Amino acid sequence: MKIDFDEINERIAKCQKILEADPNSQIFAALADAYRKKGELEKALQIGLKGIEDHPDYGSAYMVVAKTYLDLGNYGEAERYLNKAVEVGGRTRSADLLEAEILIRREQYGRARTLLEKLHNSDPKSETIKSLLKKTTIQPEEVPEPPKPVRSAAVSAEPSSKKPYDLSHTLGIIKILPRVLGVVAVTREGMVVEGQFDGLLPRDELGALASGAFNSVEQAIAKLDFGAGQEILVEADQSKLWMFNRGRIIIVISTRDDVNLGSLKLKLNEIFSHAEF
Amino acid sequence: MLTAKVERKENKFQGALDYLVEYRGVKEAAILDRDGLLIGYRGDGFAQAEAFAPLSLLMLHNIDAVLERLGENKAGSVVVKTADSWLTIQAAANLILVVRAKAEADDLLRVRIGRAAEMIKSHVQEKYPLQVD
Repeated sequence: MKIDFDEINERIAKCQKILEADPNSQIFAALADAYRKKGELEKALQIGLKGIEDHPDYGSAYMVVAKTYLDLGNYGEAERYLNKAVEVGGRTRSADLLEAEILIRREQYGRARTLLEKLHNSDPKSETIKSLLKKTTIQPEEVPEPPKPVRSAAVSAEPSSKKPYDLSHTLGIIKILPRVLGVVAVTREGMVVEGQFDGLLPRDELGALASGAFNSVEQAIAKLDFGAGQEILVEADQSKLWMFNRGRIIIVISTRDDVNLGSLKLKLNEIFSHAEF
Repeated sequence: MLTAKVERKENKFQGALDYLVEYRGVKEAAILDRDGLLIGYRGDGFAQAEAFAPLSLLMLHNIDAVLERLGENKAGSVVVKTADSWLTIQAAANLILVVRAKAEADDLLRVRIGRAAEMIKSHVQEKYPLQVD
């Protein structure tokens, strides 16, 4: 995979600026993740672990630390922090995916495959899942693994094509789509119901701002007799923000600016067609 | 001689709007300045356009406030879809292009809106070189 270091450096600079302005910001997780992607693993770990001390309930931070330990080859610690992320933030598809990666690195291909097959069933187009699945099938010396006691989000989601997706499952699937940076569900009043947003704002603030913007757009188009707003797409220099009206809640999705909108739209239509919340 | 030259220049804005409204499903298109005043319009409801001009600007300002908090620059475009309409508010140099289409209009309209914005931008750049953002 090609790494865009300019983009990462820009992200690091932006995160640092925000952290300087507000040392208590949860942006540290995004900063740690950017250093991880750049390959500066020790620095990523240092920022992530320090941030967790100040924000012990921030699930995304544990995920970043788990990924960093995985990159360092310390699978035990990776698993430990993954479990903490699940304890704090609940089971998500991102957590399932990371667990599958850890299992593959530990050569526990059977368990990894079981997990990935469930993920693949609910999102057959995901290239990440396909690529990981491939890694589990080309291993010649495979030892069957005992069943795992903990039920994962993916395992509990079957059969995904028939059972409606609840909010948590829907957001989990959207979060792992290519170039999606974050997704949250907010009420009309601006309260964040669920979701992860590893962006530049605390998610509560994002929720308030996004619902405010959505409501003001709705009021404006109502005055023009355009009918109720269904979706709003905002294109900026470095990112895109897509907001969907789902009745009492608004789904807010942040993506990179180079996202393939057509492809994302198709996937979102499919996901929403299964959603019921 | 001078009159003809001025008319030809002014028609470049009108040309961009004509280019948009000839597309299948487009109901109206307008060019606004950053104060919400109507500079050009093509469609069949001028009175409605005078109402949606300031409201479009208001929407853009609200969205820009969110983007600013995200550390982003101002919005390049905002697309609002309703059950029967598709409203695009697109920045074009220091002006704003607003296009309203039927919800059934195809996604290639986005390409056309982008081109129209370029036409407006190039005209502004040519006519008012110091004012282009």
